[in-house]
Amino acid sequence: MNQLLEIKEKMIHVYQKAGIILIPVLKFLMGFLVFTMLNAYMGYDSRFTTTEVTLLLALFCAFVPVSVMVLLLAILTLIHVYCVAKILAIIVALIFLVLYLMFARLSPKQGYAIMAIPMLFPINMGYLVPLLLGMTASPLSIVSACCGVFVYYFLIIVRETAQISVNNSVEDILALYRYVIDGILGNKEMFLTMVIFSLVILVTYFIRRMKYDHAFGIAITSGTMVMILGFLFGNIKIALESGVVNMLVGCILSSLLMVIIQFIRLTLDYTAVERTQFEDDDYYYYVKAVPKIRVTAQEKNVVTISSAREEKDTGRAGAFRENEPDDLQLEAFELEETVGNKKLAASIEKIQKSTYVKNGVNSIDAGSSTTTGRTLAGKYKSGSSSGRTGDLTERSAAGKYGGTSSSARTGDLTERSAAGKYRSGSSSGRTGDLTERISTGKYRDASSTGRTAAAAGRTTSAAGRTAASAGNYTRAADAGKRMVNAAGKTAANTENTRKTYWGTSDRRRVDEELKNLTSFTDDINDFNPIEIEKRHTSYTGRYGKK
Amino acid sequence: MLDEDKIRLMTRLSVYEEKTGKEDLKMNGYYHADYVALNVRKTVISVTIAYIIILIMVGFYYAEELLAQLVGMDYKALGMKILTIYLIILAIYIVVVVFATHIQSRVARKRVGVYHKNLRHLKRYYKRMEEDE
Repeated sequence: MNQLLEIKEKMIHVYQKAGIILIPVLKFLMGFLVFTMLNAYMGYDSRFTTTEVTLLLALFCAFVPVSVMVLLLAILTLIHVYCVAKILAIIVALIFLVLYLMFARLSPKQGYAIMAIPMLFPINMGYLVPLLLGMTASPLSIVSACCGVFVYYFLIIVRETAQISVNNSVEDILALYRYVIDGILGNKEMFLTMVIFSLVILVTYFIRRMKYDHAFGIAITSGTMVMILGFLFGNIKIALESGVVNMLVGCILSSLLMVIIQFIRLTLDYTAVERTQFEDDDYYYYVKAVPKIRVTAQEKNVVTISSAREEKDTGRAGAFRENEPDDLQLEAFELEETVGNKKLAASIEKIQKSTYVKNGVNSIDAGSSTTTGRTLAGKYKSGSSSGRTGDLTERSAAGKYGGTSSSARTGDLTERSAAGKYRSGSSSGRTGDLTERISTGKYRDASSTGRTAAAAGRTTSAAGRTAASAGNYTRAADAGKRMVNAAGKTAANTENTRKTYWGTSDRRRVDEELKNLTSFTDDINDFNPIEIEKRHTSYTGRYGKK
Repeated sequence: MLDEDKIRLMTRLSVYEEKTGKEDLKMNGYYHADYVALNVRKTVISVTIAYIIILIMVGFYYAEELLAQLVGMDYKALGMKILTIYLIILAIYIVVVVFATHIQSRVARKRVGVYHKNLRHLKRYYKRMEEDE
């Protein structure tokens, strides 16, 4: 099944890429086949049986609707018949005209059925047409199917009659005419086929429209069963010309082919690339609209080597990364792959994020992914992050240095962080947008507009969070307003935090930590793996593995 | 400056106009009753022509018998028979055509509705653009 799906995928790709060429090519091939078959069947006029003429006609058919091809076939048939029997040609012309006026014009879109049945019956595959019509068209296509059956049997009679040499006497003409009409009206097999095909179309159509699982498969099977049973019962009274075995083989092969057609049909139906052109006052537009398709083939997985626990930890961070813009994703993966340790990478990210320490902003951003948070946790107790479908809610308390809460609603991300006394900022992003605002307490001027926090080394916040969002970025002015709001809302929290942790505890220690972080960042910037490893061990050791 | 939203909208409109919209819009150009009447007229004409051809063919088939009974034939009864069959066939065709046209135009009107909605969007869009300028 997977292989089939992959073939389907490949077909979609080919179709989307080469659809504009593929369709005329297929029509050309179909035209060539059909005209060659007609020439083989009744190629009386040698001028029209040459390969050049056939190729030219097929080429013409490649660029015109199928109905024109049907018309061409009718004309060519008339020419061939006219070549051997002029009177017969008139009869054929009149019958074709009646067929068109009474029946074919009712369902012009199924013109191909009229052509397909006479072409497929000689190779014992005519049974495919009613199944196809039942699966794709409306019950009105019964008319086309019956016309096709009529044309097939009519051409057999015409072929037989064309061999009879006729004088121009009235008696001879009348005799010929009667022979043809008797041949048509007395052909019980033709009427039997018409009735069975109509039944098959109805059964297939109504079953495939029903709302239950595998309706399409059941419809094809039932259609085939009706066809086989119909012909078997019919065979009791009218001996089939082609024989029962041939009929059975034809029916089964047709149904198998129908299953394949059905498998690829829906795909091709909905993957048609549209090309259109239009204009407005300023531009001419030449648009190629490619429908979005579902990827059914297996996606490539990036395998990272890490311990089981770390993998668990990084699960979420990984999920975020998948949504990150490419450049960021690259950067993150580069880090991981080089050091070979996701946890360390997360720490690095964390540290990098905290580089705005350098900017005089003594705040540690708390809004990072769980992994990051946990890695650096310790006394900076980073938060836990919880995400619902499309939502991300993060609450992190940045330990001593203040608490942060960030919440994101569907597609939105709003973050408010307060970094101790030095109120941290707030960042908010909408679906596909990233808006970051970093309010920096009394140094409140620093707002950053960055792709994602994961953009290592940049002064951004929230690698994980930003991953959930992508797209448009900050407007600083707007940020100002929001920052005030955020600051206001977190004021109480901040104040508490300050009182609890900051006011009395030793500032010296905080400064020391910040200094430490800064130099760690420098190591990362210099990309000194050994040093990073050491530091990482030291950090995880000191701040626990929570 | 290219505006993606506008291009999307215009593409949607353009694709529709070039494909299914062609027939739909033509259909929509008529009042419903007029469109049905037009189809009925076309059907009457084609059925009549086809019927005449069939009559000629049947006549030709029975040419010998007809020639033999030329004098003593009940033309009135024959005419009535021919006319009755014609009217029955015509009635069947008209019913089918009216029914089919009705369904067709109902489906088409839905699609045209969506098309007009998109057109209105585009109009509003231009209005907004003008106001911005």
